[in-house]
Amino acid sequence: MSIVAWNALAIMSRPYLGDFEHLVLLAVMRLADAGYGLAIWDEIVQRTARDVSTGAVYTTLDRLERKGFVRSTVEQGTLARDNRIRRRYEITPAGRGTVSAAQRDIRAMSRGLKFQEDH
Amino acid sequence: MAMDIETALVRAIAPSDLADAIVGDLHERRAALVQTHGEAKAWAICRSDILRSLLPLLACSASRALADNWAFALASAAVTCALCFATIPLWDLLGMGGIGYHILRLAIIGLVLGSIPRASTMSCLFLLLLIGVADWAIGAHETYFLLVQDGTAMASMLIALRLVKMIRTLLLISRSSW
Repeated sequence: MSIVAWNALAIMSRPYLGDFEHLVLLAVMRLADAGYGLAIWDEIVQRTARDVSTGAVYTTLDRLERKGFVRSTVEQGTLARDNRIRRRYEITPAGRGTVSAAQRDIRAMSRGLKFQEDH
Repeated sequence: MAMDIETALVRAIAPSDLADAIVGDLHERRAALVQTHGEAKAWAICRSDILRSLLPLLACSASRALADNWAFALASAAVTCALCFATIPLWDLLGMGGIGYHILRLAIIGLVLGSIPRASTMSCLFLLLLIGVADWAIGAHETYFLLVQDGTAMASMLIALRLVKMIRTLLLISRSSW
């Protein structure tokens, strides 16, 4: 098999990580043991100033869980939550590896480029 | 009451395992916002968030419906398709072979397959595919028209079931809040 075909196979077998999925995984990593849905949403909104809905965060987490990048555990709700359950998300080794690969790609592609700095 | 409607919408649209957590977040966030923004503003912020959440949640539910239990859905569709073709002579014999009866039968099939938990959409899609293949194999005329007609009959039942579920949830929640 030619080198081009091998490269194509390698690219196809690498898990795809969308822009928002990348942000959500980074938020889960930052929050470590406190990766609750609302906290993840808050982390993204505070750090990126993006106008995202909680539903978008939960559906992305659901997709990431299906891909095996995060796992969730259900915890008992409190009175402030009207006794409804909370989901705590944590990153899996596969998720950590995918984020590392994505970060490496971004660093490699950004090297030598000049960006507008925030003031 | 307004908050209850938002809760009902989330419950009707989001997958059940996510809905409870989202509704819990809604309560928690609203309670925190009331302290800083006041009751009315807190409700408005949460309402806007939930309304913006509905589309991704709907997409999530739809993708799960398509992905879950595909093997079971295929088996259900195959059995239904076999029954449909095997009973054609019987309907003709009973004088129920007309187009009206055919649409009625497809609507009933849509209602039955639509009641299969987490495999309803996939079952109907598989059934349409199998009917299409079978029609092509027996050399039926106007295959595309027949497929559109069958698909419309089943899809309308799936939508009706979804609406009934939504209305039932709204009624249950409004009753429990009184």
